[in-house]
Amino acid sequence: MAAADAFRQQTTVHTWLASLQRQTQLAPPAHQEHLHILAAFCAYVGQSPDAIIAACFRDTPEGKTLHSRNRQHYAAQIDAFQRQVAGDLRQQVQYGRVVRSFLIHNGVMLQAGWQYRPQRE
Amino acid sequence: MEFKEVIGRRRSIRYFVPYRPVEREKIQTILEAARLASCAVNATFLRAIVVQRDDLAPEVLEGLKTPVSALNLELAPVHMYFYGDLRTLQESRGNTLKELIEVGALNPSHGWSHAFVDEVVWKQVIEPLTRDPLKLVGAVAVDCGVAICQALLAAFDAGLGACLSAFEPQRAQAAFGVPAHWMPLYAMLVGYPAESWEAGGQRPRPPFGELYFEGRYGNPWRRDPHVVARLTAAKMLQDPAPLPWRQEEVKTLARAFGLPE
Repeated sequence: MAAADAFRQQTTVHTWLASLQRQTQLAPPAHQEHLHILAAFCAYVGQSPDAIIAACFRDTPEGKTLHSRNRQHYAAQIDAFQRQVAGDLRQQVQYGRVVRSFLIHNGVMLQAGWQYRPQRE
Repeated sequence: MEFKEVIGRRRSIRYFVPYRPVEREKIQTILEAARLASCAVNATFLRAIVVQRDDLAPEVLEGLKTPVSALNLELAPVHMYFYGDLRTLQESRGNTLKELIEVGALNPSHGWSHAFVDEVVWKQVIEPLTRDPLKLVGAVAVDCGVAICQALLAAFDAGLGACLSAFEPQRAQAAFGVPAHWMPLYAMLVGYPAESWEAGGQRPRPPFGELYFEGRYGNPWRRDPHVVARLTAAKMLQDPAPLPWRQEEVKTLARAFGLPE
């Protein structure tokens, strides 16, 4: 429980949930599923939420800006994470969209595209 | 649809029905509307490459995406890549103005003649403009903007949705064989809206009086509430965003397409 609370208290997790709550009126029970998925992703990449977000930005003389290469790295990691989730496509997509939501609400622009696009024959 | 309502219904549509094609005649109507737009010197600067998304090889579509336009490009079945032809003026050598004289649009009543175009307008105004990149780009961009606006309105009049989106110009140039003197502008993405036509309501705009002035700067144009009421009745002015159900709509769309919330 202490570990879960510590996870939840990370600045970026707090920012994410607060922003989600404000924008989508996400009910608190849904937070648990979100946190579970984010925790799984963090374990998958071996980084904490704050470390993931920190890596997606860099300081420049003009101020903080997105770190393109790291952003792309995490976008690819999310794609890979999603693919290895056990279950059907809908479950896999749910894992991906939750993790992308975490990055997006922390200011990391990501667009993964239409997840149910039919494969070309 | 009445003209005022078309203006009122236009807003950037970002969720398209990805599998529903757009009829070819509607695409042509959009292009016809663009071609008729007002343009300085009667020089038509706007060019377009029209692409069916599903005709693009996956790696080409991927290459056209920018971080902020990736999803739009993927969902819209039709892409119109708009460019401004920077050589139009140079190549016209004032002939497009002389055409206007020939057809009675520019007349001696207003001081126009072939000699005036040849000796004054071309030599002293247009030709120097073609050598000033900053002014040329400004002139071309404004006129292309006017034409693109007509294209946008025509799309909404045809019951479609559309939005202007960024794209990767170098990838587009290579993929579509775009001439080097065409200045990349926007891709107009077209399709049937997956979101409701209201798309959450009319977007926020600055107050009228902060934008428009009467006689001199600082003297706001007086907005007549009777005119506002008439335009509201004509559906040009509509309920502003956000409509009460917008967040639910966005949530539903996100889930349907597997997008983050």
